[in-house]
Amino acid sequence: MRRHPPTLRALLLPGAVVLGVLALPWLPADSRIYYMQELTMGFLYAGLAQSYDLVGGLLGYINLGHIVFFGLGAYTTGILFNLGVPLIGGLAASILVAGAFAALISIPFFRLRGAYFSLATFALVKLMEHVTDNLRDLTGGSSGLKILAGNRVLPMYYVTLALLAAAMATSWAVGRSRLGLGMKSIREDEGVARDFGVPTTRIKAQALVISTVLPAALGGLFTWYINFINPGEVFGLKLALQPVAMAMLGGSGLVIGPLIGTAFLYGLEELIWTRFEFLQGAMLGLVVVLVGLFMPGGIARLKGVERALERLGLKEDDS
Amino acid sequence: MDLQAILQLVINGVLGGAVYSLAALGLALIFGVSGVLNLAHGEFLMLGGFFAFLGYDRLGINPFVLVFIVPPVFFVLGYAFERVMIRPLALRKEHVRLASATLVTLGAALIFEDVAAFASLGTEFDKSIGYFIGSLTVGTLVLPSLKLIMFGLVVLLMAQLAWFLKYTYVGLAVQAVTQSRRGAQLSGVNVAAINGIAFGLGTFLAAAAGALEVIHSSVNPLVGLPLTLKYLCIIVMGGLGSFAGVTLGGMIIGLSESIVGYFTPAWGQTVAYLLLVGILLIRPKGLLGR
Amino acid sequence: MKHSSMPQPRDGDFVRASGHAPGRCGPAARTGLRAAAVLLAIAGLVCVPAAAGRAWAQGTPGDIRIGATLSQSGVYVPIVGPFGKLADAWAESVNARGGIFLKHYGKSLPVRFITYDDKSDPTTALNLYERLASVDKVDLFLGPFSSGMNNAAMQAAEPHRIPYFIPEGNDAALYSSPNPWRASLFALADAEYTRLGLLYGKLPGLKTFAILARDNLHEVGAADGFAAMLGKLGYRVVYREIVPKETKDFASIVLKIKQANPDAVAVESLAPPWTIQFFKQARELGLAPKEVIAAHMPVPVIRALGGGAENIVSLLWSYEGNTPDHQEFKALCSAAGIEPWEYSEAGVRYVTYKWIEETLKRAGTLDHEAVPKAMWEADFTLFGDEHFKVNGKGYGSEVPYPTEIRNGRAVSLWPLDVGLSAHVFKDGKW
Repeated sequence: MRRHPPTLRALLLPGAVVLGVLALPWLPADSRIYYMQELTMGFLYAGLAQSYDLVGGLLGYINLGHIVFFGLGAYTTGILFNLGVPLIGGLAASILVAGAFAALISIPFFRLRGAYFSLATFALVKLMEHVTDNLRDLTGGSSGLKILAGNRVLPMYYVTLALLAAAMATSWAVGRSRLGLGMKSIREDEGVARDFGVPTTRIKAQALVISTVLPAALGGLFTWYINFINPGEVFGLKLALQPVAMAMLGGSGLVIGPLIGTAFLYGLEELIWTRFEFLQGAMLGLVVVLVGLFMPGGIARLKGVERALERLGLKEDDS
Repeated sequence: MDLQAILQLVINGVLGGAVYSLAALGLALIFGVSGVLNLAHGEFLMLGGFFAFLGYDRLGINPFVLVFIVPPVFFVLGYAFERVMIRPLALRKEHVRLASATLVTLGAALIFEDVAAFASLGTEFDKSIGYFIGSLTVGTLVLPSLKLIMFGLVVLLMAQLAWFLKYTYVGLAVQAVTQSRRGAQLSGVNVAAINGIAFGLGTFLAAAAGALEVIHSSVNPLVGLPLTLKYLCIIVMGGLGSFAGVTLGGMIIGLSESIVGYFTPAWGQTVAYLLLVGILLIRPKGLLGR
Repeated sequence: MKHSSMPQPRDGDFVRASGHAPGRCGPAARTGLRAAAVLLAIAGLVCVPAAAGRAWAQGTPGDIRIGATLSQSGVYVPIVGPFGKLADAWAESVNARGGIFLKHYGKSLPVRFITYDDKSDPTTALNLYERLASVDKVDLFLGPFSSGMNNAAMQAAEPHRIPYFIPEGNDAALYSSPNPWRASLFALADAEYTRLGLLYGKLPGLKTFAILARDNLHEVGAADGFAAMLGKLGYRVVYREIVPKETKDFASIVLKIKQANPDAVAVESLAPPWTIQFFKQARELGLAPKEVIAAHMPVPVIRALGGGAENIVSLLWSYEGNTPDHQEFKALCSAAGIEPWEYSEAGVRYVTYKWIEETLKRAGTLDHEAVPKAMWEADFTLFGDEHFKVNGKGYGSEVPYPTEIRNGRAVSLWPLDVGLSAHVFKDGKW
């Protein structure tokens, strides 16, 4: 399908939004810090969803254990920070640890298929939670890990935004590369791909390792930002399932999908809690059900949304 | 460590495993037949316990009678759930269907959880039936009666399930659909109806497990999702599509938690997940999976 | 950007019959601009602080606004559920008396709470306190439940220079770095059993203890403190264990406790399901010690054990008495629809409200320098003879009171002489 370049007109609104987001910290509004904090978490979730979708959407393996890398990053940076290592060093170490872990587990784990893979990776999350709880001397155990506090709202805002942009750029680049082609072929039919000589094992390992860079960095930054982490939070159910749900909601397999899913769900949450005092969770659940029932393939694959994306020049080859 | 203690640990483990197996069987049934990982399964367990509690607390009905009254209601609910939520997805492509079913059941789980939480404001958030039956003692071994009953029920259910699957039309149809949806359709099986029945049965089992759970421990609105995921892990470890595998998986988890829990309680929970991951890495299709 | 010379039907409605591509001010541009305008308007509506209508009480100029969050969803709901009503009841009673007199303004100002639902999540709590500061412009903060949440939320205090009163948050981590903006009246978790220790210091009949703690921030610290205390009192702790949160099968633990054969078994767990599981299984497996202590025995746990809960010793943040403060406390609880013993932390809330009132009276102003200073200099008496102060690190010395379960409810074992005569051993009777 031919991609139409976006017209200036079409870029007006999204352009205004992007400018608004970039300029938010400098606007003379009292509530700007509040919105910055809200958006920071939004960028974080979107980044997690985007990096998840590299394996979940492009490779076709639903990796419920994506958050393991986030937690590993969070604790690595936290522990090193308390030992005097500056943030940059901590983040680098986080990325290395997560990447090494991914490389290690990819060979045995990618022998599993479908639900087996998904639940084995989920079991990894619980395993990491329990191990972190038990290694009390290293991680503080269930009492959590605390680092020196500081007002980090402003840098965190821009850094998470930049990381989100990087994640999307990565998805886009990988999607167009040979690696991406190999991943898609594995997604469509792994047996056939292997028979055609696609180095499936190597590709899967590469995909997994690439997908861990962002959550590891975000995890480390999360610790730095919130000053206090515990296993139940960074290896928690909500953080584990939310990126997956957001990616599927928005359109798994499309570069813009996870962002749309996150923006939609996050924006909806904000709207719901300002209007209703009770049953907010139920309403969100209802929306998720409706999307599942009536929007196969997610929001980004809806006819109307597809056209809007086309006008923005964001519509991609959805194969 | 004396023999008595070891024996007690094994008994504890087997009984604990029975508790897991009972709840996981329903989920296994649903997955085996319709291919849907029903993330709302734990919510049905929770609701089963919820209503069993209300029956006992408000109406004074004997808890064990409730274990027989509540589940049939949930059979109907499960069937209806499948009809309304899952059947519309039937015609989609495989991986789209999987993603859609995940979203639908996850959304449903969130709804059930939140509504139950809303209805439980106050001192009834955690529901537990204060009904106590003494334990059997054999020498110095103690056998908690409730767990024995649950074990008995699991054995009974396994036997009934086996009989049902081999000797009734519906049971054979269920097996057929589990093995090959297309093949079953070509043989004239009404796959849609079988999916509904499987969901109904699975939910029936979940509610029964929930009713027992509220007697032997407690339920609260938040237990659903974590339990569902744990049962999914057990099923996958035992092997999708194998009911014997689920029971075996449950037993292994129960035994390991009991024995490791004795020597190092801190690792009692960890070992379950270690085994899960370990077994899958050695046998990618689970213990008895096809 | 190239426009093709041949008109491409784009969505069917933007091409004019003449075949020219749409011009700059053609219908397409107008529709696009209209859409953008509508969207910006909606965005504006969302951003305008009228969205602060989610608060449960609106502040108006000339009030004392207290910003708080409470868990109305998530794991802490059963613990703090009715505290919104409790706070409102207290505010009403203060306002009925004319409000709080602030000498700097020469008049009494009414009190208003602005409360949001923190969903039992620390990041949400942090965001909300930020909102309370910048959008709702509150004068003081009242913290949420639990150390984890307070640790996150109190970060909003310093940037906005708003004093932060911590209710339930007594873990050392909160006070490890100096912070003039936050304080608490309560002792650290490891001192929580102090008053119970006083009771057991005088009570004969026990020699050995077993202590079981749930693996969680609060419980581990509290159990450590209790073990140390018992050691100093001359008791022997023959069994100690920290057990994971998700444990469902306590049979192995019960077996080990039975093997250690303690006179008393103490259980430290904030989660009813965990406590219920342990006790039900302990009962089933024949663990029947002379004394059973469960630091947290909320209503669901009591009911789960039925008659088996009888004579279990526990802790509560309030006790029964007849002083005017006791009566006021009881009245506020009734107004909130609860009984004091049903929600242990109601006692914490009451003391904290009184502290806020006392602080403001003494400061005489809402100024952001004077109030924190007054907060730290707290020095008042409640319940006849109980003295409340804040120490140099920012916390106090208030600890819970011993109680015992009788006939399905908690009965005070305080003051000490009352407790000593009222106390009855469990004697292994389930």
